[in-house]
Amino acid sequence: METLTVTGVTKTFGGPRPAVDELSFTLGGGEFGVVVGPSGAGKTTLLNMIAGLVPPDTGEITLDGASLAGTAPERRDIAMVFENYALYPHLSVRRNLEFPLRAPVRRGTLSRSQITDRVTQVAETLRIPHLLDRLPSQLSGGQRQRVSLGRALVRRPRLLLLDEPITHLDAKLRHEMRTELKRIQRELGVTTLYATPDQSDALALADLVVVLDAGRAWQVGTAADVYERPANVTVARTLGDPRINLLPGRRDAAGVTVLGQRVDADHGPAGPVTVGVRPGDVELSTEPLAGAAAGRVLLAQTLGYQDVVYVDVEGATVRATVPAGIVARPGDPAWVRLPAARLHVFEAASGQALRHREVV
Amino acid sequence: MRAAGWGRRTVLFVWVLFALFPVYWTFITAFKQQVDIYDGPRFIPFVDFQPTTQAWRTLFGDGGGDFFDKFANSIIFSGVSSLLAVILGGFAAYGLARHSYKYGPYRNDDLSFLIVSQRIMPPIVSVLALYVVFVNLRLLDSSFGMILAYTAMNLPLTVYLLRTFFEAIPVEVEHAAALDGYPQWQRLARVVFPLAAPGLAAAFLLSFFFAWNDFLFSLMLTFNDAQTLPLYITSLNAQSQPLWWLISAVGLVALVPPAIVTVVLDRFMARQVLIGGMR
Repeated sequence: METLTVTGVTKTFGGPRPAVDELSFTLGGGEFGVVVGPSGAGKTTLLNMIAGLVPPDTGEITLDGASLAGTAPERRDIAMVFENYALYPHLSVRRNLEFPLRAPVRRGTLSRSQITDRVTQVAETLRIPHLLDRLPSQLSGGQRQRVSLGRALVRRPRLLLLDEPITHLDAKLRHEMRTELKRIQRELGVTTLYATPDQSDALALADLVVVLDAGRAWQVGTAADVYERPANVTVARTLGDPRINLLPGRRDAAGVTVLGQRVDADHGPAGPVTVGVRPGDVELSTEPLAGAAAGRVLLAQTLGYQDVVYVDVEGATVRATVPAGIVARPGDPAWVRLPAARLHVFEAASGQALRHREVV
Repeated sequence: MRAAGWGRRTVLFVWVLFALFPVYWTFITAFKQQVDIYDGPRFIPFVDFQPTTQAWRTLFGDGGGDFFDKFANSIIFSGVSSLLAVILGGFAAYGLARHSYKYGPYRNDDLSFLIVSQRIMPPIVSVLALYVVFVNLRLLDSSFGMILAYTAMNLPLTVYLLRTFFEAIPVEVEHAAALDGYPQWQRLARVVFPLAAPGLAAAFLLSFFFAWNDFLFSLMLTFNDAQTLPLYITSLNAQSQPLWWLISAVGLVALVPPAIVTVVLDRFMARQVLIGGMR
């Protein structure tokens, strides 16, 4: 159970802004941390720095209280699962799994039979014993992913890094592997840091979420923290599917004005604000509604269990989720009401949160 | 067998006849006597002419001392220089594929071009300068000099060829090996070189052929001790009339080492098919 701390870590590759900028967080021993952010956010750079493949410019990374600076990657005992799996193509699955156990740094620590036992054990955990004699080129994407995970786990690393391990799997397999990952991580109790562009991975898996964008950590907290109480617009935008509505508004002593409607929320000094409201909190009606803004349906998509309706209100597009089966055709009139208790309010210029949605 | 199959076979058969005829001609010439060679074309042994092993007895008998020396020279120079070119070129190519160099305004691609440009120029342009260098360094007609010359001649080729092979190996595979507990040299030995084996084999093969078939360097930079097989063959031509039977016999022997090298290395080159799908 090794605690990972990242303190003030910065890395610049010569671009206009740092790839990773003054990043700090602490991941407790045995916890599952998820770094979520779009491509180019600096996720891979962060993992590479923790792994020792890329040296940070400044800042400190410690594992179990000891600084990793100056420790070569092969001596860190950190395992990583790569986005493209990075299996050894010239070695069979069995040899791939044995590879870390036969490494020079572990010479003499395991006997031949112990290595065999470990490989058998991890193959069973990952349900791949029947694939042991194949070459990576003879495996499907999902199978390669399992072998890659097995190679990372077989030596019981101090820290497990996962770089978008399931991004390239198809949707069904992705859900299956996600559940599987959680199960295995719980069973082994290995401290895990998982990088993904998929916000649903973060909400489903994480004990700790780090929202990363443009190299900066915009919020660090539990899944509930970052989803229910986003510290700023970037975090609100990153988490939730369909995405949160972010609408221009004004705040004054009487409340907030948004979509031309006055909402009795967040009284405060006057100024422009950004109002955030989750599509599920938007009240949508095909009949006129008290305190609602009038608009027109742009598009309706069904997700099966619910529909996402896009409504144009005074030039702004509002996304609302409604139970499946409510018929909304493009061009239909629609009324949108934003319940006061459900609004997030952010300062317009800085994007900092002024007020959070009340949790029921 | 389908009709198309027969058509293809016929075409291939004709082509093989065409391609192998010079080898056949060399082969039978090596068993001819002077009279059979100069007295019109004779095609079929035992029918057109009576084969004789005269050439072979000269070669492997008392007249063969020179031949064995040159043959050994050719094998040693080609083998050692190709090995050196693959090792040195392999490291250079790995560096160019994996690290970013900066010498003044020059980057990896400039360095790569600089190296390859050494081979763009026809060797005849540089061989005179090389001759002067060899005279001053007292390398003329020495084994060391010839190995040096062939290594230098083949380095551009191996660097150029191997760089693409190393670049085709995903860097994550090396990163994985690092995290799995393998230091840099072990990563090269256990992961990078095995994956680049087809490239290393191809680079060795081509280097070997170039060195084996070289005539110009040997002509300019050797006169006796360090002479190679091509020069020896030419010397058989330099008397009152060409000794075709001897030339053919040496030519046949000269085919053997490249053929062996090809057969041995072909297995490594075929591994590429097996590996596939590295990304």
